[in-house]
Amino acid sequence: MSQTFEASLSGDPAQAISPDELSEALGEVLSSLGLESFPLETDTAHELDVSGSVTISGEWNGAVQMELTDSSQRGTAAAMFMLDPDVLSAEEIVDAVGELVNMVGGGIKGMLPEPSRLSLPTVVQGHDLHLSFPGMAPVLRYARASESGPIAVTIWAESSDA
Amino acid sequence: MHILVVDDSKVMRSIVTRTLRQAGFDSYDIHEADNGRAGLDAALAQPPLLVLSDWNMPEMSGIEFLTGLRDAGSTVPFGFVTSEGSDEMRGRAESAGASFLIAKPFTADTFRDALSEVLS
Repeated sequence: MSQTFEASLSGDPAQAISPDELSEALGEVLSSLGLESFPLETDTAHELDVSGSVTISGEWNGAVQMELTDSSQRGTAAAMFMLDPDVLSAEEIVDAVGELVNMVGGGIKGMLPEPSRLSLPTVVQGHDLHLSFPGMAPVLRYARASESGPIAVTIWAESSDA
Repeated sequence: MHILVVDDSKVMRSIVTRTLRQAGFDSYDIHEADNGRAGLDAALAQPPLLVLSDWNMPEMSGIEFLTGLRDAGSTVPFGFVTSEGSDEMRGRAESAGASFLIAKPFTADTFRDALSEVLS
């Protein structure tokens, strides 16, 4: 399913982000970086190898998390640097993923109640990652397919139930 | 003359430089710094024709960098290239003395529109 969580962001309901808006925000950033992508009809479970995130704090509190496979992080970094994936260092790939989540997070922040502040990005790499954000719950998720593999974005919102 | 590109992300400095070339600003040298403090030091030591700076950076943010420049008496044109383009941030940028704010994602046309007047 392209939408795996209810789109019920806390804060002003009029500011809630729809799955289409989330898809558009992600697709626009990927396109600007020279990455063709299309919506994933089925967001199947992937063995995710890298997770980048930024937090948003202020009038609305939560986080934007992006997940990529090893292949899609290399493909994304290669497109951003306009270099062959094989010549990129591990540090350059982490830098590219951090900048990607910064761009997507900044776009999503603009759809939420202001004023708020965007954190610097954090990137975690590992095998078959499952991350959580204490005090937050996932409220919206969307994935797109790129040439090099899936790229997913999840919005986490502050929650008293988390 | 040179343009100073300040961003803590190496790939974004690369993309900004590439976009400058695509927008036709290919006759300028590009100098780089990876945070606001390094940018401030570089801009005061060797004033550029224009500063293009990220907002959210470690060590010193872009808005602190701009304020430091103006406090030091520098009038060098300054533009933000940042992932956030809210009205509040545009207002803060303008009040601090920025010429423009370009929100990511951007295109060569965006750069051409924002920079042409400053670099004319």
